[in-house]
Amino acid sequence: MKILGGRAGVAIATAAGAALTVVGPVQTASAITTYKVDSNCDHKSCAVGYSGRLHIFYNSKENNGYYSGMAHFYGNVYDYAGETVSYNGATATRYDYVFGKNVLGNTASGTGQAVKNNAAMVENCAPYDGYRVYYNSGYQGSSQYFDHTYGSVNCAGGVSVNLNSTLKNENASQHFA
Amino acid sequence: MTALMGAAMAGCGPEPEEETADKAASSAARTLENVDRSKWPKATPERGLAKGLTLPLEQYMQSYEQRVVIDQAVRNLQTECMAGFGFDFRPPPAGTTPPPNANDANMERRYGITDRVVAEQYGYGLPENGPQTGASTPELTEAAGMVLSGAVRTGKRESPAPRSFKGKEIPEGGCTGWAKRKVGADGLDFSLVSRLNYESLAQSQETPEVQRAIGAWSRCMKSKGYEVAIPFEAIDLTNDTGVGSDKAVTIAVADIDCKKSVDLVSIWFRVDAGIQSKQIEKHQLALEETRKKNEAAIKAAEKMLRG
Repeated sequence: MKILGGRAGVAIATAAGAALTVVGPVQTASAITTYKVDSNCDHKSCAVGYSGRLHIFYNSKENNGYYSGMAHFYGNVYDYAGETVSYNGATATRYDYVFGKNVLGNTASGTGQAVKNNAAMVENCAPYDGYRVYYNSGYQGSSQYFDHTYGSVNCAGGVSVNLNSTLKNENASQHFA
Repeated sequence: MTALMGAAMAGCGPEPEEETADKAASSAARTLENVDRSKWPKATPERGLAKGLTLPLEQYMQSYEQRVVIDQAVRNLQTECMAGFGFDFRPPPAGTTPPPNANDANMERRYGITDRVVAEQYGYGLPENGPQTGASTPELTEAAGMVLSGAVRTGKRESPAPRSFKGKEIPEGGCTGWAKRKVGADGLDFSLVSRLNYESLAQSQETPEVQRAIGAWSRCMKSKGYEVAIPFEAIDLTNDTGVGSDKAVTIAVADIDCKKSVDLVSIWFRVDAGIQSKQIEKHQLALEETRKKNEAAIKAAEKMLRG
């Protein structure tokens, strides 16, 4: 298995433990299938349920962010734009990260919009892992820490915190902390 | 009896005999001795173009090491408090999922990548091996979760827990609330220093001095065959092959060599630091208050970990 740039989370179990390689859209443009997803848990192994994830919201606290479009990511995410994976170098699949429905399961402001340019608020639902959000992809630029829930599951005791600035122009990233 | 009642009323006051037994049983898990510190980020970069650089605001931030000490002390107190309610609560040790940088400043990659040793091997990637998984989470019964967090979560709704469990009063915020208050971690708020740190980088990037240096870096990159306007975007040149590919290694090394040849990191750091010194003058009282609270919490936590 080839692991690129610390995006080690690509290690999902494919049936035969097939090699995973991240490739760009240029090489295999004809074979690429693109999905818009609101989580990295569709193509990676994540903690069961919502436990352990960083929830990212379209709106800020002041703008009722908790009920705006939400995306959720587990572990280290190198680039909030998304990622491209291919199995055995064959058909490549592109996952673009967008905000999904809100916590109530309804279409809300931000639903369907790209995470990379629009995130305003974060809630860390991980019981024991802090997270850092970086204002550029590849863990570059300044960063901001989001505390865990001190053992609570289902995000009980989770705290919503505004990002220092709405993500814009630059692709951001997140890492366990 | 009165003394015991008093302790219970105050929260989770440990009954001495219980505390001793509990300590002996799980002393290994209650200290930081067994945690692999080799992966913890250094307080200040020890290699590369950012070696030894510390920004003025960093003295007001909480470092990774400080946070781990506080986290571990809180976890020990949670265990103690939960035991008082009859629950065997064993959280994982703190410090097992470290970030690549010690604090919000992110000196290692604040102005883009700076460590040639890492770049030569990993391109724009980090030297991390294997899947990055979070800490394991012990199963909690509904009752244990309620006593721990002091709240009942049903679906998306959260409501306060009952005032007591099996006749013993649940502290405000549950055992977590009690543990955080005991360490002094409940009132810690680093949002001001975090925001100022973000703003100084954004503002410094727009100054003529930094813009000139970025321009010089961009021309240097062009002379090596790469079209890129600002350091944060150099990573995008690797989109077709991945951040750890051979191609990415070549670009990452060129990126750092260009930064070195035009003195980008030193120039940017100087402007950034100048802005932060002014921010500190303006916000000194609030920043100092947070620092004092942080120092008190670390002191209390260290004392608890020493036992």
